Amino acid sequence: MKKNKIVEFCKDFSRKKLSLRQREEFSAYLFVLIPIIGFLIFSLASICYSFYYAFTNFNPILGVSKWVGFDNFVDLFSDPKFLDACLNTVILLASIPIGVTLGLLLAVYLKKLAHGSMLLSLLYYLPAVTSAVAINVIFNYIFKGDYGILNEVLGINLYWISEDDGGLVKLAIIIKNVWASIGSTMILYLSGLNNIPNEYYEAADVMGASKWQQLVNITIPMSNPTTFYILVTGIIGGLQSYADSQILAQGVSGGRTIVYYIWTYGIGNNANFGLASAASVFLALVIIALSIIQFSRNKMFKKVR
Amino acid sequence: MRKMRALIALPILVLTLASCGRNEDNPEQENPTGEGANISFFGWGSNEEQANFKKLVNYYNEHNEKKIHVIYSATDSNNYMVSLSIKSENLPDVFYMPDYSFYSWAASGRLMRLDDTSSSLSISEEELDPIWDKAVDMYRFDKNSLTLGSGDLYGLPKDLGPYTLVYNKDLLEECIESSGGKLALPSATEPMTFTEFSEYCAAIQVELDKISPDVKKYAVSSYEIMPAVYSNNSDFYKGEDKRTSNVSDPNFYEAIQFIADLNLKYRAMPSAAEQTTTNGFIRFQSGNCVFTNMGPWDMTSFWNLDFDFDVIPVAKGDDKDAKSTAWVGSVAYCISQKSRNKAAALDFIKFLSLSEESNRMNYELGQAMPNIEEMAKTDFVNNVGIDDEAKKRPENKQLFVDIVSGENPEINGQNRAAYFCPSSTPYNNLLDSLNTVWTGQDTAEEWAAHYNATFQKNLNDVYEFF
Repeated sequence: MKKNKIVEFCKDFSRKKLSLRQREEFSAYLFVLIPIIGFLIFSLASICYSFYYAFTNFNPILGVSKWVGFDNFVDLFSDPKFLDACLNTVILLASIPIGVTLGLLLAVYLKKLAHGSMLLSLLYYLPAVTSAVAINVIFNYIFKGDYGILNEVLGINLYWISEDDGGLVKLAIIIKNVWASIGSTMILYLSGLNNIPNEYYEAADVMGASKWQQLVNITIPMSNPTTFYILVTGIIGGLQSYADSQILAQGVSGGRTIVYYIWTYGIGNNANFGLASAASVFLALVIIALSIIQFSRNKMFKKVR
Repeated sequence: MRKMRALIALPILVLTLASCGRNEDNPEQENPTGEGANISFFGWGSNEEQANFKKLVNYYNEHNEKKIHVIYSATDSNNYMVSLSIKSENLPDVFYMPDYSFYSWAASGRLMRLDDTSSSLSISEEELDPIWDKAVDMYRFDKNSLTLGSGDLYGLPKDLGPYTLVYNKDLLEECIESSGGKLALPSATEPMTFTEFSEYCAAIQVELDKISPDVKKYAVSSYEIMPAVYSNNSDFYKGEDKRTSNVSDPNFYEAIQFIADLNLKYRAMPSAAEQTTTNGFIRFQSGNCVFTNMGPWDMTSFWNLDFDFDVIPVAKGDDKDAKSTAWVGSVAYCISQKSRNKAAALDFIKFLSLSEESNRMNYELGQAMPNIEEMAKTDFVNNVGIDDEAKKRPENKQLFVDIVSGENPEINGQNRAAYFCPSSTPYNNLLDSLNTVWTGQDTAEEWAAHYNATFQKNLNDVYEFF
């Protein structure tokens, strides 16, 4: 019976018995079908499983799990390694404001450049289209202690990536992240700057405002939505950082992030899936909270406009 | 429009539910003879190891009436157990099982018992007789008492790997020459004590600094914790069930301090920072240290080195009762309890683990010491079948045999610490906690005083289901 209904519907569709609106809706649903299936299987199902496992001590080998309430969260927040990972993750976010500042200045410079701005934009944007793994491998060679490129060039002998000094490894990651993010930040600012009416700058010129005053009083306030977008997406991306810890920092404790913790101490050889799920849920909640802030701020910007 | 939505939603629901479903076994599809079976195999290995494995499969098919087709899939060793855990509901027919994961898997009931005499599919004692007892017993597990080393057999050894000290003979001879004969080559059979080894390394370091003032070379690249602990009359656990921390044992933390002092006191080993940037294996291969560690599986890589090398026993504690004890690692071939090709899989792993051809091929390729005791003691030690002089190294292969056999009163071998536990978490966390000792912030005794409770808690956690 059901099969006949489906056949009838297909016949109606092919005989153009359906209205144009119905046909368009059907096509639209078909277009979103594949991403929806992907989301349901790979995202929603995984999120639900993680949420459930965060409250159990699931052992995949034995195939058993016991409800443990909030025990995993208690273990998580009493584990110095997790607290260190949280602190490291937050410190490493320092690359975002630095990248935003440099990206904005670069965009302002390129906007004013009469010739070659396209070529320079392309060059600055290159890190954004380069594989994160490749970048991390290259920077590992740069910051290596023995025969590292930076040490050789500067004639110094610093062990940037080591257990001895957690500060140096963080500095190395921040430098790498600033370099890697500057291109995409610059492109976003460049498109934002093009939307600022020239009349504002002309009026400021007439009133005798310096370039610095124009930057502070026109460019930066008018770029607020872009800045906010870059900050929020940067923070969300930074919270999910893993390659930096694994490839550039080689897993040394000063460079371990929350996602590194989830993988190594939760899923890797240590295989504590409940703990890993609890850490994932915590991270997801933080990211969701940031996303809500972003949406509400977006609405605020729209109202201001 | 409701119809339309329902029509779209239906395949989504079906696909989603299908993805969450489990493959149920159909016993009717069992292949009792194994003839023409497709065996799914899951393991890890370098391209070289994978090529060698394929050679073994080809050999098996050429010399066996029951041809099989092996569907090979591999990952890197770090992700292997994670991948295997994910597959746990739908395991491949044959897969590698590292010793440090055997406890949980054997207890889980997912591994096929290999010595069940009531079944037509089993391995007899006669077949196991030629194999090292240590190698076979490692994969026995008593489910009732949760005891390793006795009970039913759930895996056949792929190899048995003693891990010991190796030295760069050419570099050491340079040091001896530079010292004007004050130094000598180490004994191949008599282990040094911790003090002797430390002082020997310190003396080598003096000469290395003279020989190579521009490029920093070290006497020893790194030192393993397990042989230091085992060789100082200690262990990671105490009690018969090995569920109690032994970290506070003075012999335990003195062994840790011995390693830390190689850098902090004698300056003969790279600092923790230097070890992070260049690991011991690479430092040794590039000729920048005298001592590092090696197992038989490293032979293939070391045969290509342009300097001579040889192995010596690991150092033992200063107590007169202390015995040089290296760790012995291993990986097993296991069969899924739900495999539909048990007959073919069993026949195949018997060939890989027990056959003379496979064992000979493995040592000739520089992959492993033979599982067959007699072959290891004679052909392996005497390089039978190896014509290339470079491939006869290390000269002191007898040491590998001595570590496994325990027949030399001065030398012994012991399973890795993680083998005795349902999870390697306590051991891995312990290694991770030692940074303050390596950097000199804490003495090993101070570290042990506060870490003992953490180690015990980690042990309690991993035994929760056992």
